Amino acid sequence: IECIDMGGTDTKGRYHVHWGAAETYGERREESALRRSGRTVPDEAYAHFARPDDLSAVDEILDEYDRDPGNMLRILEATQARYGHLPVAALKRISHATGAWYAMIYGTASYYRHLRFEPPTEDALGAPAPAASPEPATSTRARRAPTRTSAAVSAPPASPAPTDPRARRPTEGAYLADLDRALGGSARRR
Amino acid sequence: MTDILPAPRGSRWPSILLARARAKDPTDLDAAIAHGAFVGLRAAVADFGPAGTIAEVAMSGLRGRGGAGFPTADKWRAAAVLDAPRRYVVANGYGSDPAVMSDRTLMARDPFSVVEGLAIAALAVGASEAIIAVRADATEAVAGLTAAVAAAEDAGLIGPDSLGPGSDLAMRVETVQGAYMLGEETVLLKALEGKRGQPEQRPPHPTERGLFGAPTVVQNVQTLASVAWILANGGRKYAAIGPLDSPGTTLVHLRGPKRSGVAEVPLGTPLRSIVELGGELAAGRTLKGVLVGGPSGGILPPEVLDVAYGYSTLREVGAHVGSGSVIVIDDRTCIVDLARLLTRFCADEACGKTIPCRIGLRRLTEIGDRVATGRPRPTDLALMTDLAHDITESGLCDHERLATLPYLSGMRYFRSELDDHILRSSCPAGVCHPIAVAAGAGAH
Ligand SMILES: Cc1cc2nc3c(=O)[nH]c(=O)nc-3n(C[C@H](O)[C@H](O)[C@H](O)COP(=O)(O)O)c2cc1C
Ligand code: SF4
Ligand code: FES
Repeated sequence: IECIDMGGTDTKGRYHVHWGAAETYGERREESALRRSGRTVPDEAYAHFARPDDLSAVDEILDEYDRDPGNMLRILEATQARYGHLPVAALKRISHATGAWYAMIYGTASYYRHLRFEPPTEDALGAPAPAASPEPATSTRARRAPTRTSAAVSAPPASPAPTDPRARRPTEGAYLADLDRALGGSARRR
Repeated sequence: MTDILPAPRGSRWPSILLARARAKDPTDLDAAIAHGAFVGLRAAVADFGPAGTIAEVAMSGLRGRGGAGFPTADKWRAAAVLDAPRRYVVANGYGSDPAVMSDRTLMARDPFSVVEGLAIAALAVGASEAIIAVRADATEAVAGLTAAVAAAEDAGLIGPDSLGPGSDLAMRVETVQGAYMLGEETVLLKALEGKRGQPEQRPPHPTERGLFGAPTVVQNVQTLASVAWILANGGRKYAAIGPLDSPGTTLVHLRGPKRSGVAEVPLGTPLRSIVELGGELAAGRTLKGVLVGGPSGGILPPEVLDVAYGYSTLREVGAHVGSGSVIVIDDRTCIVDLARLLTRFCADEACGKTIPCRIGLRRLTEIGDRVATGRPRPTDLALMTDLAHDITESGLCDHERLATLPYLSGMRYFRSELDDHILRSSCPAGVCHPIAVAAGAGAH
């Protein structure tokens, strides 16, 4: 279980969200001390937080789900299906539109294994990152049938592989493989 | 696709949940009706009415199949008596144990039984909205249920006036994914509300304050399929199957040496008969035990295989029905290694809401790691026992109360194997190699 530090706006007005294991905090703190010194600091680590050029897709998604915070998971899944991950700018827009606190949205998004804040990386997936993640957010509503097509891209869910250091929890596949190994009697690898 | 294991030859195990499971097209409504689907719903609407339906289910003695075995009729009564503008019924088809396919198999092979049971539950408690919650990766179940709901709606079996004049019943299939805990009912409701999935303190139970604050009945899909049978065939007939205090059949996902798959077994069946469905062990292998209940299950030795498979009987011997998983373990498996990987899974999946759950399970895993890697402390067994009891006693949800079972049952039945690890730095199964290295090639 990770520790969460909600982050905020830095001296240059850029928004950062921090999460991760407690051990990495010292490093982060040093980095922000460097930032406060006024020198320019390379910002690659946060490049993916850059505002997506176009938030109109988020607005479409919000309209489709009535800007209702009760539909938050569907909104987040559809947003991830569109951008491949959950960009901070999109989360802020969702927070504004639905009236749900940013922290609540972050709390929800960080809980579910299939939602992520960073684009999937090559080494995490063992394959080039797809342009947009295809999480099928199929709310198959029998009665309100017509509009669920926007999210109906289908492909296997790309949850981070167990080796991904950012994976919040190991995948079910890792557990099943461990179980197989334990029952087969061979030594465990991790 | 998961295999369905047939009942042993000569046994008289009834087929209730999987009676229609071999249908060619499970979503063909006419074929299903020809084989008895919706007889129960019609009887409930036309003959029994809400109170009569609850009485019939009470007479059947049906208990929830989601693991806890709570009497279904009691739950319905609690939700029905409350004065509320709206009520929900939710079918829990999440199937949280990744190694168990029982619920998924039922939903994919006979979706109408779940639709019918859920409609009956809605009638009984006066709900006008019904949700079937399924795991997103169970695509076959999602497709089957979606088609079944649409077909039942087209036939007027659910929808406006279906449960009597002026009534309404809207049913929909919702997919959820992303955490083991989603199977727990209050977590499932949180997910359906679009929130972070952490259990709620009870009381108030969901029957009082559930989905969006309305009285909500959450029921496992097997429970609902049983309800459909009970209304069609009578509660008395159901009560005659299996033991008096918890009658009926349930689905078990068996992983045996020769055969694995889903089987429908009457409650009260000796665990041994279930294990035998999996076939003989390979030559030269010996039976070490059986893991019953999934990731938070208990590891039972061969001596207790005559225990009756049931809610209270399994708890007495240190396991539980749980996810309905039964895994046969042979002599290649190290109990410490197994218990440690199960506990680690439970710790990883703990939601983090209560500290004994979040940190206690983590520490328990670490003690197991020490034991398995040859760095145990002399006090570790005592510490493990203590900690396990503390975790169990302070649990907010059943996850935490049960996640200590792998170690507790391991200590209860396989104490000598643990002692070998701790006192003699050896692993009898030869799995935990680091011990030999750490202790200088073992100290036999
Ligand atoms: C960790 C945990 C996981 C659970 N997983 C499931 C599940 O996958 N399916 C299920 O029906 N119930 C599951 N349950 C039980 C539910 O909380 C709930 O008791 C059940 O759905 C109620 O239905 P029933 O009365 O028909 O059993 C789980 C409980 C816990 C504590
Ligand atoms: S240190 Fe953090 S995680 Fe631990 S108890 Fe305090 S607030 Fe909770
Ligand atoms: S898993 Fe969080 S309190 Fe039980």
